Amino acid sequence: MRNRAGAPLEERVFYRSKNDATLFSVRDAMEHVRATLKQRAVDDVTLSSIEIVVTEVLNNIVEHALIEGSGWFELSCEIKKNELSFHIKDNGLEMPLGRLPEGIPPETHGPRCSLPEGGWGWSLVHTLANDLRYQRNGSINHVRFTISRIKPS
Amino acid sequence: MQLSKEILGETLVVTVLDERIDAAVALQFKEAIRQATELPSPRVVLNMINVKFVDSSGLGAIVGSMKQLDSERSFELSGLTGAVEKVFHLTRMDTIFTIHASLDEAIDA
Repeated sequence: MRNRAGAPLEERVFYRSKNDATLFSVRDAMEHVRATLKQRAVDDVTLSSIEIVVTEVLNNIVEHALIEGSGWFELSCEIKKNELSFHIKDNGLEMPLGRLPEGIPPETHGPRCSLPEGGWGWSLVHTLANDLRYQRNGSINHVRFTISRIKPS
Repeated sequence: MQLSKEILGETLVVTVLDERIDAAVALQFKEAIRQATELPSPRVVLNMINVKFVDSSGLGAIVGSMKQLDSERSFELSGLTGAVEKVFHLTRMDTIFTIHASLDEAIDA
């Protein structure tokens, strides 16, 4: 889509949770993101990466930043030709040490009883997202990243 | 968390009817599997054909479901598609589980 001057129109997806966001708010946000991006013809392979990354980032916010159950998150996504650019905000606690976890995946060797039951979240985010950045501004956390489109529009 | 179960010979097939196994339902999922696998069988196949999405908590709950079984019982998966397959591949958990393309293939194995 282009406006009269021939410049591409900005295409944006936006979601804001209720003020006491829960893991079900994450589901709600993902439903909105998936439906909107599908409508804008984002391919399924790209969509699956988006769904994995955004869910892990939002789960982390709800489970670790908003622990008192009284915070919100907000997501916006700019749809570009070759990539999708995400900006996620929340009003929860600051990331420990003021930075994102490195995302080292857990060990999966050894017998059944020693297998990990979690800890993959940040490793998935680091693997699938590009230009991943974190910033704390006042009382707001900002996470930004992009996801490449497998099939550009 | 909706599951259905069926005994086919030595195999207990547990089919997940929900579309998502995520952080919102991970604990419920593990408990539902515990109850469903109370039926004795040497082999359990978790049929995931209806599941469209698993996050890292959901993956943890699937691993936990296997760990809560007696170590002699085999726990296999079938019908992983799209984003689910991607999560298993990226976390290398596709090397930990025996995974069948379809339930038919799992039963014939």
